[in-house]
Amino acid sequence: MVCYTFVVCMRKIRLIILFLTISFGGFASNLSRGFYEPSVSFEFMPEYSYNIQWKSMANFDLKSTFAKTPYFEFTTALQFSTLNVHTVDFRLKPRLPLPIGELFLDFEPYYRIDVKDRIHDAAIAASVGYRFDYLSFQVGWFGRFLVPFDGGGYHKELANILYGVEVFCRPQYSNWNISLRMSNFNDYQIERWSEPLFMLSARYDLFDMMRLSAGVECKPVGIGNVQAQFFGITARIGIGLILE
Amino acid sequence: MKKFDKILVLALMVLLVSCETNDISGVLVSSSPTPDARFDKSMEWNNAHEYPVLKVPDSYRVYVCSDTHIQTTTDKFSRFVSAYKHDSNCKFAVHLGDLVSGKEHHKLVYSVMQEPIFTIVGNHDLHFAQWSSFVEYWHTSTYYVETVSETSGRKLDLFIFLDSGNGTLGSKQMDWLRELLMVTSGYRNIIVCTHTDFFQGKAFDGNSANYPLEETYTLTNMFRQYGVKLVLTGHKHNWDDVTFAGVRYLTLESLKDDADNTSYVVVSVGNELNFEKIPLK
Repeated sequence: MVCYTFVVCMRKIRLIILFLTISFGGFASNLSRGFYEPSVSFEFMPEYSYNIQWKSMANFDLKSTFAKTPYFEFTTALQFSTLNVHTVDFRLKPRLPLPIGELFLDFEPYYRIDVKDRIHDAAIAASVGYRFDYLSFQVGWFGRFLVPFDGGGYHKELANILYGVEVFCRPQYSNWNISLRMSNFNDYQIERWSEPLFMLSARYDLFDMMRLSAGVECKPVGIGNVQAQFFGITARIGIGLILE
Repeated sequence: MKKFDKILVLALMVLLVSCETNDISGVLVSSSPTPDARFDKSMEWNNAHEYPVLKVPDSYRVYVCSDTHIQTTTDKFSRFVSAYKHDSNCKFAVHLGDLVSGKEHHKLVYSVMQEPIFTIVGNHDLHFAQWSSFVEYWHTSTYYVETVSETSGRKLDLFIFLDSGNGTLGSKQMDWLRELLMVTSGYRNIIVCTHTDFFQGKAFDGNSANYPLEETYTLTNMFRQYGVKLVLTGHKHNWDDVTFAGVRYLTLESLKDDADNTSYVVVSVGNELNFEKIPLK
């Protein structure tokens, strides 16, 4: 009887976590180990971030991934910042497992509100990528709408390039991995082509259900001007719960 | 194989020509001082010399050009200089940066220019560590110019010149700009002139870069908040006319001798701001 009650309780807790995970949205595209393992995961990541214009800030990231089949992944990512800049990002990712690696499509509606600067920033991205054990790359298009709170004219940028290359030091099924990534987007921003982000990330699967992660991201400016300078840096640590 | 060799030789030639005019190492790190260090240098000059105040009629014209990228010839830029010198209602001209491409051409540009013209640095003026050369001729790249009525003496317009050669104003210049805009009042027009443009155009602007998004949000809001009416930029060599949050952003075409679509702009400054784009063939 006690055992039965325990199992029922566990199922309820699991359902609640699953519900929260889906509600919070967000997805951690590389959280699942291996290529085809179905997984549902939830990750919390506090960040310290600095850039030369906004100075220091703390961000709180919530991410969830829902990949019940090898053919589809859905992720949501939420970020709250102490500077009153908040982001929500959804990614729908049909995947095609191949004999070597997997081909994927990535559709990404994205919205950021910068309350202090009174601006909405919304973007829609579509890209195609290929992921191997040691390498992943992605290229696509995105369109952006910048809309001020107070009217007076908005701006749309409909022809932008999205790109990303990530190199891993170990195969995807390893219980730890380190990667280096260059791209003009992450879960919380989609930059113009000329402002790439350089990210060093690491993960370690403490248990089957728990993952620790950490990362440092550097944002230079002026690469497109052929006059590169430091602009900003972000450091994050994370704890993830893998439910399946 | 022969075909491959030809492609390789062609690619090497393109790279070599590109290295003559572009400081490729700047992709990794700028060869000129940081924006903050350049701001300090500009302020050194500003503190030793007063900001210009020009007496003008209540309505006057300003001629604006950008991206001359001068190397050996100055045909179109000379025509621009001649145009503003022969317009009696033009009170000054503005060059929005990228005066030169390649090394050691600032002297040539300086020899063609005629006062009064105000200049700011573009990213190509910083290539090959040429900030020192820019400063030798033009002294400062962050400053403002006031115009006052020659009849009544009341202040009319404020022109703010900003150094955005790295695609950022840097921290110190941003603070200076914020403080300047906070204390300014009573101008009928505030006009900002800088090199790097703010928005990607309708088509893909593959050859140019903008500010990081964080800086775009902050600057566009600051311009709105403090009543900037017009922002003049260059950099991408394509014409663009955007009104965003009540502020007009004009991006000028280049004035390169070997380019097809080239033009300059004549801004009529009065109680209203109007402009005319003048193509140069």
